[in-house]
Amino acid sequence: MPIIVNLDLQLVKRKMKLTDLAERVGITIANLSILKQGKARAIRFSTLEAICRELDCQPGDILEYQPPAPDPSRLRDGMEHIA
Amino acid sequence: MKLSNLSSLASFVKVVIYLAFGISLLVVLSSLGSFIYVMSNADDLSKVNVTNTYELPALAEDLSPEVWQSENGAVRFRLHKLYGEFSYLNMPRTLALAAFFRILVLCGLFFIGIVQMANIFEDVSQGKPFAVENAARLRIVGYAMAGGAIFKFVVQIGTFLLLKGDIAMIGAEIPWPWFLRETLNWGLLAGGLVVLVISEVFRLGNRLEEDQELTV
Repeated sequence: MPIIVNLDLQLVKRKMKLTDLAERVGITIANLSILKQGKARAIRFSTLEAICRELDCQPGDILEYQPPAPDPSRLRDGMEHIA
Repeated sequence: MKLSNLSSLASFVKVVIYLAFGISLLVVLSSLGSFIYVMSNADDLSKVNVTNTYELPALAEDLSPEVWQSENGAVRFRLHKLYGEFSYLNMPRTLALAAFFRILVLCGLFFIGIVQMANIFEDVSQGKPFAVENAARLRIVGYAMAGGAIFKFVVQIGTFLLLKGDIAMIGAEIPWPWFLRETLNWGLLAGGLVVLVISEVFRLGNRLEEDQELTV
């Protein structure tokens, strides 16, 4: 998925542990771990709001969009078509 | 319904399923025995009662209960008065092979369905009816049911058309509308389609559950 979660980076910046953040935000460490590892399918606004409040940051500091790399096979096909 | 009640019900159904499995295994074994007997005594079956699957009321009304011949004269039947049921006095081996092939495939599909149902009820008795695999299992059951109904219809009609000379009686008109209606098991076909729809609902439910679990 091209959405990258930079929660670990924000935690390191603030020298905060995941367990501490989980306690402050009020969600389980298992759920927060899912988010940190980038396995989450969706994030509730209420969760995002609580994380931003506790880390004193913007949603953009936690979530980042990285366009997917082009498929090499499709690129090769395109080159052959041009040639 | 309480989960414990559901579990005990599932355990009961599981026992019924295993019983059905055992009975169907006996049916296969007895069919195999009949098949071997018919193949080795195809020329004279007068000592046993090899009854045709079909009971043709039309035959009982029109024809007298006696020995009749097939259109090509190679096969002899004894027509019984009640319901127009008839027994073979001899049987072409190709016909026996076709009948056994049909029974074997249908039993195979039945086994597949039964095993999948047993697995589903195993999960239900453990309190997890919406396990991810159950959608796929239900889909297999649906395909086995609907596929079985269609297979039976196609094979029976195909057998009849290919071996008509051995099956049809001289002077007896085949009641085609009745034959087609009786050959296709509408209940099984409709049941299979319903199970396929339920399996899709299960699959969607599983996806929603997964989405829910991965939403933080």
